[in-house]
Amino acid sequence: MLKAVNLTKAYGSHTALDHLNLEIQAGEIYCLLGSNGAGKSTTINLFLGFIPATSGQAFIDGVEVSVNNQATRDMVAYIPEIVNLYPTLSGMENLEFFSGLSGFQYTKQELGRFMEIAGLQASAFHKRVSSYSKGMRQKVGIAIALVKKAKVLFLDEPTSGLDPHASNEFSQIITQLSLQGVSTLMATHDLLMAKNLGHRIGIMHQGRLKQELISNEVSHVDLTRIYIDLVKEKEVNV
Amino acid sequence: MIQLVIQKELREIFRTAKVVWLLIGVLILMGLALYNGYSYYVSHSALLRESQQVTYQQFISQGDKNPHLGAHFGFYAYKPTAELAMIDNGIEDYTGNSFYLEPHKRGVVRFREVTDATGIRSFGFFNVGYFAQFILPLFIFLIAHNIFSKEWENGTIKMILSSKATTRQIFTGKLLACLILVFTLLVLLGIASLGLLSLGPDSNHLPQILEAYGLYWLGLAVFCLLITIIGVSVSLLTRNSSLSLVSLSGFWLLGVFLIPRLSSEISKRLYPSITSLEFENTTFHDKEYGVDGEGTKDERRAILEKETLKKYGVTRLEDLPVFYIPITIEHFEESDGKVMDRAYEAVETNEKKQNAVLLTSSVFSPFLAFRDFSMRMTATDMHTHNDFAEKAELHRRKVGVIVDDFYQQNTVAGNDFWKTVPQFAYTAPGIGWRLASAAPSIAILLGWTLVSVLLMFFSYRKMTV
Repeated sequence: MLKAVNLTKAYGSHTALDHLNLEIQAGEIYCLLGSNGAGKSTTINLFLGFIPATSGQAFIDGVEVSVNNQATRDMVAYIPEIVNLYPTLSGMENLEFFSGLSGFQYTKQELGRFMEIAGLQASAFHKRVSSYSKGMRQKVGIAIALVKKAKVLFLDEPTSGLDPHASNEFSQIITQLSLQGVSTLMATHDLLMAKNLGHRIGIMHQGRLKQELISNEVSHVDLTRIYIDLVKEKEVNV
Repeated sequence: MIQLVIQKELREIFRTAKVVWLLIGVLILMGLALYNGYSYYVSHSALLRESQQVTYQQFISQGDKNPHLGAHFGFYAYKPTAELAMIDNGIEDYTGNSFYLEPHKRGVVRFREVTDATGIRSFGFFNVGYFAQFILPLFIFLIAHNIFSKEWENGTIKMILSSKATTRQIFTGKLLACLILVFTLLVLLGIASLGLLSLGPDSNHLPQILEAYGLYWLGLAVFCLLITIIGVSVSLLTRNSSLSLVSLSGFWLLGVFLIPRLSSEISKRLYPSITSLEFENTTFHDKEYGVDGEGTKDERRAILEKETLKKYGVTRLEDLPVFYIPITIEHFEESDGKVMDRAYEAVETNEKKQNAVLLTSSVFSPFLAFRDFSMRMTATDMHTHNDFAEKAELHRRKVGVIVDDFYQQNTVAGNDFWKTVPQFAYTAPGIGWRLASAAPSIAILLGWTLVSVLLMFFSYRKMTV
């Protein structure tokens, strides 16, 4: 479903992403681990077509992003670390707007149903987003992804700052979507989340994908050790 | 998709308290502009109409007098308040509205509004024209300055750009949302001012002014369109509300205050105005000593005497079958008239050069270009004023000829004669003349529209994360 071939992004002499090769299957959850500046968000931005690649290609369901960004946009949903919505509109109005922008027309009832699936309480539907907590915004973000019927989800630090309960709810929804065939590429610092939620984990450092692991084959302790060793090793070398 | 963006933008606008307050403020100003314009128009047109009647009535009922002395009693040629002065009174306050018609003297403009006004009038008269030229663009910039930049500041740009909507649809939606708001105001203003025009004292002229009125609003619509496109494009290019607001308000200040003042100074330095003293000295000299070697007044008087005696086949003035004095009056009226024409032509040519500098500066300020267009459409510009002055002068000479012809045969004129002297009536030139006169400012406005469209295409390609 997702494929990166020697995908590279450089800003002058600084290489933010260095020859990334990656393939993610339908229904697979792939977690990208790495410290700040490792290249996780750059990878997501390249797949979304927000920034042009310096070299290499990114494909979504066989369509090259740089060639037909409009077609690839139709297949994806994006949930950033902080789901930014329009503060003067209600959650429902935000959802209605973004679903409309994605070419879907739903009744208020149907939209409410998506909000419920995303875990937002009905009493909050018509309140202005300016009064929402971060978790509530995240839920609206999920609802937006649901209404789009996206084939691919890009999540950029989605559980950062969420309480454990909200984080758990979020994981359940992503798992459900995975079972329905939705592929997920998630950038995170959260090793436990990556281990529990992801099918595969890629560890990135300084723009390079250093190691790929299958989450079922590695314990949380081992993952932590591998991650720290990789990052440390590189920092010593640097 | 576009409709959705429009709906969302309008919802956001109307739910933002400061924008709602701004709208209320603009509506109050709009009402004030309409009221001011209407009361100015009603009071001025009534006053001028009445004055014209009164002074003419006095002239035709002055009784038995020597015709020439009676002509010196004189009467006023009034420039009627242009119907569309209710919208924009242009430079009416500065040009004045009446000429005194009497023999030998070309009328000097009188009753300039500003001479009776306080210093506050130097800020301009607040009417629909002022509102449209200066307040409305500022309002548009205040509405449009963050229409895009907020998307970067809120972080919603990524959500939008990851949707199915194209950048063109998003831009069009936002632009249309602003335009809906602006054009709603324009329609309200248009309907209200049309309503007031139909209530005014010259409502029977309404069908004749509808063309000019329609063109004025068409020009205003184009002006607002280009200002809105600039506002939205700058908001997109800067991606920062503060920077966008500073850029747009800077552009407004530059265009509304600095460029006009600067170009006014430049025009005066390049083409210094002819002072009253210079004007008086030149005309006095030319009248007394003649131009192009035609000789002094005494020499010309001697030639006239010879020619008149020869014409009537007599050797003494006393033997002429007509009075000689009216012949000399008519003769010198004509030659002095040529001197005055030349002097006024020099003044007008100088004014035209100064205006050309001002108009050229509107290449850097769409506000100035629209101001010029507005004045020409409402017939409150210098060009129309000069047309009035020219026609008033022609009327003065026509009266002179009528009186002098009568005077050659009669030494006393009574009311029966005075009634044959026609009243002056001025009608501003028609729409074709106004459009031709406004051609440079229309071209500049269209140029600015093209620039704004190019800016739009340039900016929406920059709609990236």
